[in-house]
Amino acid sequence: MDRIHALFKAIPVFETSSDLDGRIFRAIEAERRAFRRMFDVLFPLGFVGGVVSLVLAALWYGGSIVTSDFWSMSMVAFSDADVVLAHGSDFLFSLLETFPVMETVAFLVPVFVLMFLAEEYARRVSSYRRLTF
Amino acid sequence: MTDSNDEELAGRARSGDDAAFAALLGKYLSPIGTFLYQLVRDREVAEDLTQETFVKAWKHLNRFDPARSFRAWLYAIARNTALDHLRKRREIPFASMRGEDEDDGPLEAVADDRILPTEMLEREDAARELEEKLALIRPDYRAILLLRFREDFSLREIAELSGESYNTTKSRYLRAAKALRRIFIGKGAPENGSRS
Repeated sequence: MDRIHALFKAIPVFETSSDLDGRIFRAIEAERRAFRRMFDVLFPLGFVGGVVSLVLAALWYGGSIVTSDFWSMSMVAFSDADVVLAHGSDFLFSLLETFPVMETVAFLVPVFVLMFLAEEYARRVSSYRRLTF
Repeated sequence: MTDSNDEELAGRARSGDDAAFAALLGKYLSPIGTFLYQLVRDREVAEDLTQETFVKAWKHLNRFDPARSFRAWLYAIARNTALDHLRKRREIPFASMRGEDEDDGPLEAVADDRILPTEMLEREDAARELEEKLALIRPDYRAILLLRFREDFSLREIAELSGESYNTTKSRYLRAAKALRRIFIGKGAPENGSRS
């Protein structure tokens, strides 16, 4: 080993507090509790909340979406394609006007929340098994 | 310097064996603490960062590849934790956050034994003097010199653990060596170093 390596190695060792390892294990335990809480409480609550919201959205807005004029307008594109092509922009404007935006958003929000939760769950589940031994 | 036992312990810790993690903690607590203290030069902060390093290592053990060196992986976490902390305190210039260095002249290869003045190498209190002078150079430069000479990592290993290309690491190492030499021969103004 050359002199410069020896000199760097001779730099005094930093004496950590005697309880630092204990602090580290306590911090790990706190992480473990937080992780367990997330899996045992937050994920189930999120999934139940998401499913309930989805069911309520289906009950409240499902009818409006199904009976919306948007679908009958859309059918015109197939039944009278030549007329629709001749008045393309007017037709598109009317189609957008009849689109049930609020109802669709109310329906899609819980769907996205459930998808996000499922992705997070899948990403963390292997860590959960390891960390919560 | 790879210790295959470390990788085995890390593998067991990954499967939930707390005793294996305790063994790794016992082995690396002091070296990592010393490395972090040399970077931040503050006892309390060094202890907090040491704690943060080990908690991060524990949390992310599933990302550790047992085919690689656990020691290098742990030092990578420690280095990044310290540099992130110093960046938040703005002790490292923004340029280096983007992987750029200030232009301080042409870079020439400096032989390891020529970084420090020869007469200094013979002095009795040389290690203490080196520690003081190291505190005057930028923390990211300090990190590379400590990893190279105290922890015996090769430049290629340092590049890997820093997440940088070999050429970037080599150029950073040359700048670090040059900065330290300049301070020793009295030409160097402190380069954004931190002092306790």
